Amino acid sequence: MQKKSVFIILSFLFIFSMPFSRSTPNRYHNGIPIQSLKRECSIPNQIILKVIQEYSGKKLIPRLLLHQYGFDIKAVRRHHITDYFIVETFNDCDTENLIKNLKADPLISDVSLNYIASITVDRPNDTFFQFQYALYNYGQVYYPTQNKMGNRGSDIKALDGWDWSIGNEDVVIAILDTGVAVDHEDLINKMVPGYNFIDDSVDAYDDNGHGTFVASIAAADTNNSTGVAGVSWNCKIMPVKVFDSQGLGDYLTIASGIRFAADREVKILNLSFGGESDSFILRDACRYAYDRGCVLVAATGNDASQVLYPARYDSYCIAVGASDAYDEIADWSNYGQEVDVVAPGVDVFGAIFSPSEPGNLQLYGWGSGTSFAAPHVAGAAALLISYKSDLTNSQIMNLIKYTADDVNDFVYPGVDVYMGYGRINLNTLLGPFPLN
Amino acid sequence: MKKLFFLVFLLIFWFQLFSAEKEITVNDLDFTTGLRASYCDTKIVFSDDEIETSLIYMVLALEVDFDIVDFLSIGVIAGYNWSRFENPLSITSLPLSLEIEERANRSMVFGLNLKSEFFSSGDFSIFAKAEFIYFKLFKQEREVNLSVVSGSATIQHWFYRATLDLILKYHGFQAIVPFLGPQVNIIGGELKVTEDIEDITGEEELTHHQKNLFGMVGGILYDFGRDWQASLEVNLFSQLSITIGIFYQF
Repeated sequence: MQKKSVFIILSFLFIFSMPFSRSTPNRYHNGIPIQSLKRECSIPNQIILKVIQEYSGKKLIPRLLLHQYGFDIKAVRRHHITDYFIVETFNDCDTENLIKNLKADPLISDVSLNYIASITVDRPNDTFFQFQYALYNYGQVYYPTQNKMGNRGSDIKALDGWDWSIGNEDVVIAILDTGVAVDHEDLINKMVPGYNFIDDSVDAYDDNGHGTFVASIAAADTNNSTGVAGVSWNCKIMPVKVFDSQGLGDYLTIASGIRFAADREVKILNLSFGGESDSFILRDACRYAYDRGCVLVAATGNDASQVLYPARYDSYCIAVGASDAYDEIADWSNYGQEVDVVAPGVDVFGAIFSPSEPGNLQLYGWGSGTSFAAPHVAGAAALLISYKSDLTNSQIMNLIKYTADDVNDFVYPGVDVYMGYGRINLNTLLGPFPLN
Repeated sequence: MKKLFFLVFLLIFWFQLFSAEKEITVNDLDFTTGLRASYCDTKIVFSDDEIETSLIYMVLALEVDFDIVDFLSIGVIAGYNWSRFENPLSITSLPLSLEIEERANRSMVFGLNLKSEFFSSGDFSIFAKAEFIYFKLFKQEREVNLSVVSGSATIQHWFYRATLDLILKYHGFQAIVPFLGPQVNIIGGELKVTEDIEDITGEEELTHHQKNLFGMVGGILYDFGRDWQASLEVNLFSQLSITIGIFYQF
C-alpha cells in the first residue's frame, strides 16, 4: 500500500432516494365486537315533492295542491339541482297525513321526508343508543317527543374512549342510592351483591327508581342489542341502599354504606346525593373510603346554590356538575370552587324502574340532575382503573379533571366555579395524548 | 444471540491467527478512510406488548479502517443520524397515555467493525465482517398542553445495531467486485418516556429488538483511479437498507 503525505478531504453529495414517508398511524384496538350502524332521521318540518314531469317547472302547483288539501305551508322552493320541491311546514303540521294525501295525487310522482344519513361509525348496538347524546352527540334528535337536538360534539367522547377501554368485570362501582332494580333487563347481568342499610338486609332492591337510573348510566349492559349503553361496558354494579323510597337517608346510614363499600375493595363509589350540612359522620366516612384507595364521585346538587356535601369535601371527592347537549352548564347545577368537572346531566337517557310497575323491567326514559351527571364520571373512572390498574385514586381523580375540555373557556377561561375544569373527555382520559 | 455473534467472530479470528501465524506481517499503519451514507428501514418489536413498528434511520458517517494484519482490519465509525419510527408510537402505561409522533430525531453514531477476507480460491474469496453501531439519541422535551393544565414529557431513545456478514466476493471482473451473502442482524434499544403534569408524574421504559434476525447482504465494489473505491450495499429480508460509500486508501 502506498502512503500519502497529504490528507485529502473527501466531499460527497448524498442523495437519499428513499423518502421519510408518512403512513396511516396504527392504533391498537380492544377488539370489541361492535357494529357499524347508520342513523336515520329526517330534517324536521320538511317534505320533498317530486312533481310529474310536465309540471315540474311550475312552482305554484305544489302550493296550490297543499292548500287544496287544507295544509298551511310556511314556504315552498325548488331545489336548483334536482328540481324537486322543498316544502317547509309548520310545527303543528300533520306530516303523516299530508304525505298520505300527496302520494294519492296524480300530479305528484313521489313524496319523501328529507332523511339524514351519517357517516358510518363504530358504536354499540343498544336499542336506544341514539338517545344517549351524553355518550355520542352528532346533533341527533335525542328526545323525539320534545324534538330536542343537541350540538354535534357536546358529549363525553365515549366512542373514542372505548377504543382504549371498555372496562373489566373485576372493577366494581358501588351505587350508594335508593337501591337498584337488579333484575332490570339491562342490569341483570351486571350486579354483584350489595346491602340494604335501610332494612338492614342483603336485598338492596330499588323502591324509588333513582338508583336504577344512576346505575344504568354508569354501567348498563352494553352492546347487547337491548336498552342503553353504560359508560363502562363490562364493569359491575354493587347496589348499596342508603336511601328510602322517598329518596331520604340519614348521614349515619350513608356513612355505613360508604364504609361497607370501601371495606369490600370497591374502587369507585358513586354518590348521587347531597346534604346541606357538614358533619364528621359523612366527612369521616369519605376520608375512610379515600384512604382505602376509593374514587368518590359526588353530585354537586340541583338548586343553583352552593355545592352540597359530600361533593364539597374537596380532598376526598370529585364534585360533578351537570352540562347539557350544548356543552352549557345546567342553570340549576350547583356551583362553587369545589366543582371539579361537569358531565351531561340534562335529559340524559337511562333505565327506568317504576315502583308502581314493579314487573315492568324494560322501561327506559330521560332524566335530569347532577345525580345523573355523576355516574358518567364514575363510569369514566371505572374505565381508567380497568385500563391502568396501578393508578392511585388521587391520580385517577386528577386525570379526570386535567383531561376535561374547558368548554366554557370563552366566558370563564381555566378552572371556574360553574364547570370546574370542564366537561369530561374519555378520549383524552384514555387515549394517547399526541406530543407535538 | 449476542453470544453466538461474538463466538462466531472469535472463531474466525483465532482460526486465522493461528493457521496463518507465519504469514502475518504487520504493515506500517496502512489505512483507508471514506464516507458512507445509509438508509435503513427495519422492523422492530417492543418487548412488553409486542407492538411492531418500523425504525427508519439515515446515517452519514466517516469511517477509517486500519489494517491490523494482512487478513484483518478494524474500522472506526463516527457520524450523524436521523431516525424515527414509521408510525406514531403510543405509550399507554403512563398515567396519561402519550403518543409520540414520527418526527425525526438526530443523534451521533459511533461504531466499530472488524473485516477479514480470510479465504480465497481463484476469482472467489470469502469475506467476514462484524460491525457494531451505537445510536445515542438526544434527549427531547415536549410540552403537554391539556385544556386547562400544562406539563411536559421527556423522550430518550438509544439503540444499537450489530451485524455479522459472511460474504462471497467475485473478482473476475476488471474493476467491479460483486458480493453476496447471509447476514445476522441484531437491533436492540430502549425508549424512555417520562411525564410531569401538575402533580402527576410517570416514567416508562420500553425495550425493543429486531423482528427478523437473518437476512441477506449484496452489492458491488467499484475501484476507480489508483486508490479510490466506491461501494453499494443492499440488505434485504431482515431489513431494507441501502448503503453507499466512497473510500480512499492511503
